[in-house]
Amino acid sequence: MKLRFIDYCKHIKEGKLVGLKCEDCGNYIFPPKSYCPNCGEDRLSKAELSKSGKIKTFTVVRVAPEGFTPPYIVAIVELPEGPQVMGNLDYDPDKAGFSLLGKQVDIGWKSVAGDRYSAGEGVALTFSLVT
Amino acid sequence: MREVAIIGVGMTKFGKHEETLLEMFGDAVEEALLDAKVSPKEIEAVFFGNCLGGFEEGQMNISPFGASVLGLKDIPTTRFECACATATVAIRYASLSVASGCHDIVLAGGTEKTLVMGTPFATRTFAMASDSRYEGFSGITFPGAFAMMAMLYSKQYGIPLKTLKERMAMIAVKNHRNGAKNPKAHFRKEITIDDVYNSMMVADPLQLYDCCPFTDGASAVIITTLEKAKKLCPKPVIVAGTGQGSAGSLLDQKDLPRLRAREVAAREAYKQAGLTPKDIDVCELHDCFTIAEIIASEGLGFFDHGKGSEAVEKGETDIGGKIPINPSGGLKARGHPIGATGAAQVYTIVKQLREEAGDFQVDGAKVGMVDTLGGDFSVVCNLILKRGW
Repeated sequence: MKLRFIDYCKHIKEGKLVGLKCEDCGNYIFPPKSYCPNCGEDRLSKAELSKSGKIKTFTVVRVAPEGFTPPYIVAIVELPEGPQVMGNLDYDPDKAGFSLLGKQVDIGWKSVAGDRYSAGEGVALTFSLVT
Repeated sequence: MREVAIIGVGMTKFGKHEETLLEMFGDAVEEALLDAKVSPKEIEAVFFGNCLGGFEEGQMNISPFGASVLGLKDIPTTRFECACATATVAIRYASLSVASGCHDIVLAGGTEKTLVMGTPFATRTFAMASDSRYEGFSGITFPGAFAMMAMLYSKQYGIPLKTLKERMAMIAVKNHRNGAKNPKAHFRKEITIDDVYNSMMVADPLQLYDCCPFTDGASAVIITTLEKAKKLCPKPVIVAGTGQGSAGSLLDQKDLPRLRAREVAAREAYKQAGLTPKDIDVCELHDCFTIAEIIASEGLGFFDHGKGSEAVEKGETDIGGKIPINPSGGLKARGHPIGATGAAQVYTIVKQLREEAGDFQVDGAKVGMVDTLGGDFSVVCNLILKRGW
């Protein structure tokens, strides 16, 4: 695969949100894949994606998996290039309401230690409202 | 391809069990074999559903032990895992193996013991059915994924969240009302809309009573050719159509709140059966959360997109309604031992078609449908069953 998870993590820590772009049809791809889901071709190359987007949907997680401390907000953000990303919205969970849908956010990241089942540490994207 | 039929079904009571994964499976299979009047030795292959045995009991490679519990040696056994759709997928492939001529009589089913893990760890293991690299590190949970779906649904169809929540609560009330009549259900008590509103928030806007429980249980079905079935039992249930679809990571899914995996699976099942949604008399579908029942009822074609919640308000999904949905209580009240759920749905539909469902019988049901969803909308399997007599 042209973009490995380990390299995605390295790039985001350097301040770049990297996905893939299909050289045949121009489709932007995230999460990374071996073949383009749009046209089926395999000529994919790394491409930098916008570090901003719009909140498509969100929830406040109040019953968390082991290893996470609730409450926290999980959101899906749509990037201008088309792909969607998941991460944590930096916002007061008790003030989070329906009006957050469609709001513009900037994208950052944080390290997540992981557990014995996560194959080591990872990164979660973080979202902050553009004021 | 040969026509295929179900000749026996069995399931443990769903709830909390002290029995092991395999002890529960053995109990469910014993009931199914008695129902089919078939001896274990006639089983030619086992299609075994289990998701989390490694975490529940430290048990991997469970399928050969599943055959061994039945006193069987030598036959092929395979474990299936498609998150919550596991047992339905196992039954689909069991049916295909009979249809193809590979086997004549097979066993499919599943077993699961989720309660032993406790809520935080069970929530962790369930979340493993989402994309571990690009979703998991955000702390997404299954209630969380469906909560995000509820938000999207409200926005997409312009149904205020307050109205949607009220209609979702009506689904919990309906499914508990049905479950109260089902002797095998995890929860056998009726609830009120206020009970839903007064329950703790799990993932906004889903409250505890919008969510199915963690459950222990096992279920099993015996499948053979229609030709053989007609000789063995008076009421064989034909597997008229099956379909299965997949949709990758939640992030890959751009059509939400519509689920592409379900639309593909249902289309295939209807086409194979030569039937349409109007022909379905009773349906057991995937109500892991109340919003999930609304979305499934639309995806299967019973209601237009955006109209599923209104239908609940009008009672169209009640027993006696236009299309009775989850007369067994569904995942919500019957319970959700994930690797066993699909076979329990089939158990209910078979009982309905044979008019053996007792207090939750849908009068005159001749055609039934099973719908099971796995992961964050990434896999759906559908079965259409009809009377073979």
